[in-house]
Amino acid sequence: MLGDKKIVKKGKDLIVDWKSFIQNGDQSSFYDLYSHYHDYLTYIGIKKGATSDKTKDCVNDLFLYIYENRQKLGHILNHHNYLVTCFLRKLLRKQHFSAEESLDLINLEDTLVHPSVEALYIQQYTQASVSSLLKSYIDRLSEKQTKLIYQKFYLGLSYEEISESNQITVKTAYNTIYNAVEKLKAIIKEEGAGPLTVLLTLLSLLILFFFKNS
Amino acid sequence: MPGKDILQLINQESFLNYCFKRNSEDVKYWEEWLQKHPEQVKQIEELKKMLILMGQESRKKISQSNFAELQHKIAHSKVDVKSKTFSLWKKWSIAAAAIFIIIAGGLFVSQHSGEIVEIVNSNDISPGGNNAVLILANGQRVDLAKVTTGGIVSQSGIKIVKKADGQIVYEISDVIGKVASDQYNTIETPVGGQYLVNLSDGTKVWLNSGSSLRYPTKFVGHYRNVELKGEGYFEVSANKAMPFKVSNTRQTVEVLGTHFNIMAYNDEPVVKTTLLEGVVKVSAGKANALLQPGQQSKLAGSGIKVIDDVDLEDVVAWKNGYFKFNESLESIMNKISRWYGVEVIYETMPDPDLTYSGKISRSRNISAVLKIIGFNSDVRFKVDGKKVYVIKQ
Repeated sequence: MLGDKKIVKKGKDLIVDWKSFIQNGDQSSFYDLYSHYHDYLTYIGIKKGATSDKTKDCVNDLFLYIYENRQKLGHILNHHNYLVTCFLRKLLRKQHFSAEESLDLINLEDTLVHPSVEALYIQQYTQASVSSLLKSYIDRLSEKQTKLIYQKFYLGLSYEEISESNQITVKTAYNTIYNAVEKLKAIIKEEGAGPLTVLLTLLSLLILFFFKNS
Repeated sequence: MPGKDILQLINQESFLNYCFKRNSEDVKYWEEWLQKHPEQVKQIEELKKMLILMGQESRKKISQSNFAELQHKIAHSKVDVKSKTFSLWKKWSIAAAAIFIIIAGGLFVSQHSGEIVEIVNSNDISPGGNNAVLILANGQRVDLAKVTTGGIVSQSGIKIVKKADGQIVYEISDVIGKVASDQYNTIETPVGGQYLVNLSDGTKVWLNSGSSLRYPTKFVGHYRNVELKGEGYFEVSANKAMPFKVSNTRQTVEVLGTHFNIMAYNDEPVVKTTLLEGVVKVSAGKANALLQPGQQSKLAGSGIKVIDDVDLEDVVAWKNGYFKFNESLESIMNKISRWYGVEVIYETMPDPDLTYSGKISRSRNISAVLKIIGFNSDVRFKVDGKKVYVIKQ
């Protein structure tokens, strides 16, 4: 019931969305492709040593290109390899890759950047009200804090990689993230047995239950 | 190991690997550590959940804001968008030729088969016109067909003026800052009415019959919010700092500045949003779609379906003063019932898969319109007072 394969969506599973976008221009498929590859390509870009701004620009340039040229892309059979290769060409400004480099690309693990099954359960059982509460909290963080939290707690990049891609010191990267977590912790403490506390307790019980039975 | 400050743990990759289940060795290490330190379980668990939730929320925010940037690039790219605007003009000219042919055809038919429309009680029904009721913030109702040209009312620094051509214009007459922000007006068109409203930001809204629009007399805040019931065609004036939002009970359409039509009558099963220029985002619950010029979204239940290359002329025909049909008989009769204020009674149920087409001015009497529909079809009509009977031929 909790098999990873069923829950974690891999890039290759998006073939349906790719076809529906390429053939019919379906907009929600386009959004789904973007949403998936945004994480994956950001992860690869930063791992390859690019700055986070450049990575973002290359992701958007790539998707602008496929949006405008979808009618010419009907021949692409492996959308995953196509997207990753185009992205790296833009990122590294190279037209061709050596055989060795191409092999590296194909061997890239596709699920690295995806949430664990536990994280997916948390997502699923977080009520809309609590989610909007969290959102209002995240909205209060600076753009920089939000970006670093995304890179650290979602993409799972190291403090060294984060410091390089954002052109800050490791200490600044760490302090920025620490301050954001500390602030949220203080809010939870302040509100006593408020909705966030209740949620955290409930989630623990729920997950204990699911994972014991799986 | 956690010292005094549990938050210091986020500096340890092995702890984060445990939280996000990235490395089975670290997961094993921390699970064993927790078994030895049961008093720490509660706060470690809480921290773990918090980090996961923070990661997910910030991911949503970053990815959405980057996607919004992409949308902006798409909207300003010259490919596609431009060619579609030109093809629209081509369609208009073809349509102009078609209207002549179809009406000529209609006249021909009316001379030779008077049987298509039978009028009992000797009354033809005249078409609707520019009628609407303006409801002010204080609840006062103004019948716009009856007021004379000139200032209707001044409220909280806004002057509402009816111009010679019947349009309603909002003029901000006071110094900025004195204008009350929460003053809402509503314009309601009756069955058989239509109206053009000019909002205070320069946006124009054409309201079809049996519709209403609720809007603030002056827009303040982050969004320009209006509520639509029924059908309206919008020409939104560009203001990137303040997106325009049109909502009804089933969906929200968000735009920066563009031309589009929304059909959301309560008696129609599908809400249709059609884009003529620019980019709009249609959302309903969790579903959403970005539309490009020439596309139409259809919302039925909670799903949104996007259709390419719709006939834009069909969609905005009403606003330009004519009916253009290319649909099932029931759908056509719904339009007729709203414009002529009649009740439609089916003595024979039309085939829902059969498409009827035709084109005629909305200023003609009902009999002329019904003749066009009856031409080449298997139904005829009987008009009795305010009732139209659909009869098998």
